[in-house]
Amino acid sequence: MRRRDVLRGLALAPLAAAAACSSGSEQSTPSGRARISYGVWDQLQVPAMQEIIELFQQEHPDIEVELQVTPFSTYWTRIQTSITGGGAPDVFWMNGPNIQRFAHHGMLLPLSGRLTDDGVDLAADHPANLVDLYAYQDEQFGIPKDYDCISLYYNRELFDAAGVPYPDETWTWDTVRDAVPEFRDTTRRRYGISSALDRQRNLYPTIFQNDGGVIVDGRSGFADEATIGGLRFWTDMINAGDAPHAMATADTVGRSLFLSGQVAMYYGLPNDAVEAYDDPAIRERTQLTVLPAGQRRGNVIHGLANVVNAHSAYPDAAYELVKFMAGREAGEIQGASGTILPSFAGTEAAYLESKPEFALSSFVDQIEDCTAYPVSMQTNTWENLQNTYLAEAWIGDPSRDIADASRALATAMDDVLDQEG
Amino acid sequence: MVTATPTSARSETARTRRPRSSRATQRIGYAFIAPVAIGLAAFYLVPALATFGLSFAEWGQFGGWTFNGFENFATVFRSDLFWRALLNTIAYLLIGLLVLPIALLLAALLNRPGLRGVSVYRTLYFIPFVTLPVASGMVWKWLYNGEYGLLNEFLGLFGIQGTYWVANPATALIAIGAVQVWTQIGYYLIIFVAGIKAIRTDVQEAAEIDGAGSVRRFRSITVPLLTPTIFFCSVINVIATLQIFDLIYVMVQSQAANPAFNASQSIVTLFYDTAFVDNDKGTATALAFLLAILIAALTAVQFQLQKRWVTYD
Repeated sequence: MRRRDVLRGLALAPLAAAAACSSGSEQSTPSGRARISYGVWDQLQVPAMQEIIELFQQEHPDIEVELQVTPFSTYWTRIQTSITGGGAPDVFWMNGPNIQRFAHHGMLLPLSGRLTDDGVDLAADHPANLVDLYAYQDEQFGIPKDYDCISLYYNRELFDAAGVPYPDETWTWDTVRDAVPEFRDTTRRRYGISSALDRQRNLYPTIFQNDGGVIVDGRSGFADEATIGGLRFWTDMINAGDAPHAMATADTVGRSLFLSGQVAMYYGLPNDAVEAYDDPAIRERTQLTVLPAGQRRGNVIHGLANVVNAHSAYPDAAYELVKFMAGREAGEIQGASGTILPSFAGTEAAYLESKPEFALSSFVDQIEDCTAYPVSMQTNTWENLQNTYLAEAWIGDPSRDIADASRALATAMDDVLDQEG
Repeated sequence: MVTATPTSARSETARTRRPRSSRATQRIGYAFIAPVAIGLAAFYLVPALATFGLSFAEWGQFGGWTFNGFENFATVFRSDLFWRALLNTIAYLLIGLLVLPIALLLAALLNRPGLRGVSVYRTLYFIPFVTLPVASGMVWKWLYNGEYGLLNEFLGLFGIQGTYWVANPATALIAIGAVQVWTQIGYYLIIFVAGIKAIRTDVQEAAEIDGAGSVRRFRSITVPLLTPTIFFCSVINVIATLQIFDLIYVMVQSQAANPAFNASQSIVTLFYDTAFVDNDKGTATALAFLLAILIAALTAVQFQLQKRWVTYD
């Protein structure tokens, strides 16, 4: 009897602990105000988010918003494990690789109906392919808040020293190939360009510039000759010894190589400008322009979106917040903070002015060249496969051909896509 | 005989009283172990059993599961990544075992009579062990850096061309295994020093009088008398290296795409990637369960083998 009591107590203990953990995060305040939480991961953007929340609360005195910051390393695990139990934030940041999974499993509130009722046309104010990225099976689940694409960062001192004219919109792959050997300096370990195995900065833009694709009609595009040609742009330079191989860029990431003056050119995101701008010496020698063109101009666009938790106790209040976040005022506040490029058309001005010495307008100028960041249901799984399969063709050994590695990747990636069903 | 009488009488009374007092004692006993027992059950036993049960289930992306028999295990055995990780883990294990002879030799040297500053040496050797593996990994990643690393700088003095130690598929596993050994030396060193101190000095002295040199005494007295300690250390060491994760994660997996990713993958890093990157919790629990079996099996084998070489005097 006694022992059974003890055992029963032991058996119940975890339940009690679990119950204590999952106590609801949202309580309705006595005055009938809705209290919602907003989950984000970037500490740098917190001041701008606070400012937007204050403005929102002024317009909606009946809604109280609490900002919850979770570091990116644990952000997804936390949301994923807490969302079915009702513990996840009411509104939270979403990215491309995760949108379909969350939408497919009914974790997100569908927004199309509400947007239509309010007469909001997202595509009128935000880049259309970015709006599409957050639609799943003809239903809108996310509203873009910011965006990024890729620009060419270059080191003017190294260009001057090598006697190569600065890159501009006339540059093509051939110009890059011709220029790169001019910068090579083996004793100083200096290269013309960072060729890191970095899908968003390097692989996807050149794949799209060569008319290739990452996912084409639900199948992997990596067996396609055009895609392989886009990858070959990088491996040719590596195999010729003109660009650092993947072992070098695994030890020292491309951005560090550029900031320390080891590479003359670097394909970078808007937020790469922050570090380059902070150091006066680097700011002085750095400039940006649009990416060199391949078969055609091409680029990749990604951006974050705000989504509403389908389990939210206050879906109406949560929807009001994401709608507000998609508006002009929210865009202007984000832009003025200089941390990210807001997606609301026409609000980029403040961002561009935050670093007047840099030609940040090159990001805005390339929106029309952009293809949406490729995603599917299990994006993370096949993105990881890219690293493992392509890396062997990236170590500067010409006997390991990129075509073989890319076709092997396509087979493995198709397996993942098949299982998504 | 006479003195025994009161003792047996006392034990007689104790026996008659036993039920009541022992019940009370038991109750108090349970109360004392309750804090640890509840914690252990809630955070260790129940999750471990649940992991075992759920390794036979397919997990939903957002919770929920359905039993699928041995499907997860079939997935694991079909995966090339698993076999690669298993081989790598065994390689880490073999490299990791080097820590025992190294620590034993150092312990013997530290026990030499008349050596000054012994505690300083012991502290120096112990520091890597109390340092967070993540911190050690970060520092060694820099030491191993192919362009700016101190190791290559040092090798350069002798005209040796270094490599990208933790990014080169040919060297990454050995380089990480070496750091693992380095972080563990201090722990085993302390245990061996204590073990050597426990060996009776008269045995050593007798051998010395008989004309045995220091190497001979180490081989014929220190090592044989230390075998129970060595056995304990090898069991602990095997369990620890089979679970190697932090160093690999920090040095290879945490930053940019690394060509040595597959070549350095261990079972635990594969578990991490499967569970938290691929979000395939079912296959991951099967992996975790297989690792537990592997650890149990290797420990059992060691307990069997110890009968042949461990001497308990």
